[in-house]
Amino acid sequence: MLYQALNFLDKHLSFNEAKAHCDVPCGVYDPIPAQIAAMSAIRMVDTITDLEKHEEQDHGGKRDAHYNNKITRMINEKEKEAEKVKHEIRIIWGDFFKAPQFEQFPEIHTLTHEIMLLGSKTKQNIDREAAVALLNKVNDFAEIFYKVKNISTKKVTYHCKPNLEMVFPDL
Amino acid sequence: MLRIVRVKGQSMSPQYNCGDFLVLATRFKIKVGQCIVFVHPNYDLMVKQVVSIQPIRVKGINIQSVTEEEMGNIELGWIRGKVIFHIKKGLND
Repeated sequence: MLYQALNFLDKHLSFNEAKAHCDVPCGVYDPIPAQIAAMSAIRMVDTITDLEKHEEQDHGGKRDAHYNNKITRMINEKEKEAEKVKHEIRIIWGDFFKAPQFEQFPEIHTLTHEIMLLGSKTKQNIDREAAVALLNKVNDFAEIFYKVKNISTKKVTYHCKPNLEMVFPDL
Repeated sequence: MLRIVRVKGQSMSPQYNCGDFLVLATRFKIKVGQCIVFVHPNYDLMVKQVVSIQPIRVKGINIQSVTEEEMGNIELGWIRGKVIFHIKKGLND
């Protein structure tokens, strides 16, 4: 009865809502997808470079429909993975990091912007140096992320090509 | 002074569920374990449980809650009251 009375009053007085807040997707933030995407972007740069070499050496640079099919798919994949890096990092920077974390790690803004720029450069060019720099910056970002969560980290050689170093939580 | 708010969300479930009413005391001394309502600059009006006083840190009860780290230290000026009475939403309400 008391609830019904309050409910009635609420309809007329509009009590404030205290959010027992659940942030979709319920606080599930993780830099791993960004790190894997950066690794994949480097792999695509390598496969494009290898395809070009193979085309010149073994097919006299003919570049037929088979070549066009392969190169198109590889470029599309590079584009997609580099964009995924930017998207995942943007979400963590925009939704997970708050004022207290920005005070603790002010370098996170510059780092995020650098990742955005390197992500674009990786999309625009076939540039292994830029793609590796992107992965390195995403690893730096991951280290800060885990520091916020008080989780220690370790550096591990990733088990897939191009077998470069990744920062993982040491759980 | 007293104030009434309505719970929205599940991060304090099963203690407080969505739709429940909370009666707040606006003048009180903060203690660990109390449930307080405060205005967070990033999350607006929230209800959470106090886990420490210096600094003031809070947490949700439910695993789905925004984390303590995400909310950071709570400023005294953000606090609107302490929960002193809870009116649960019934099955038929």
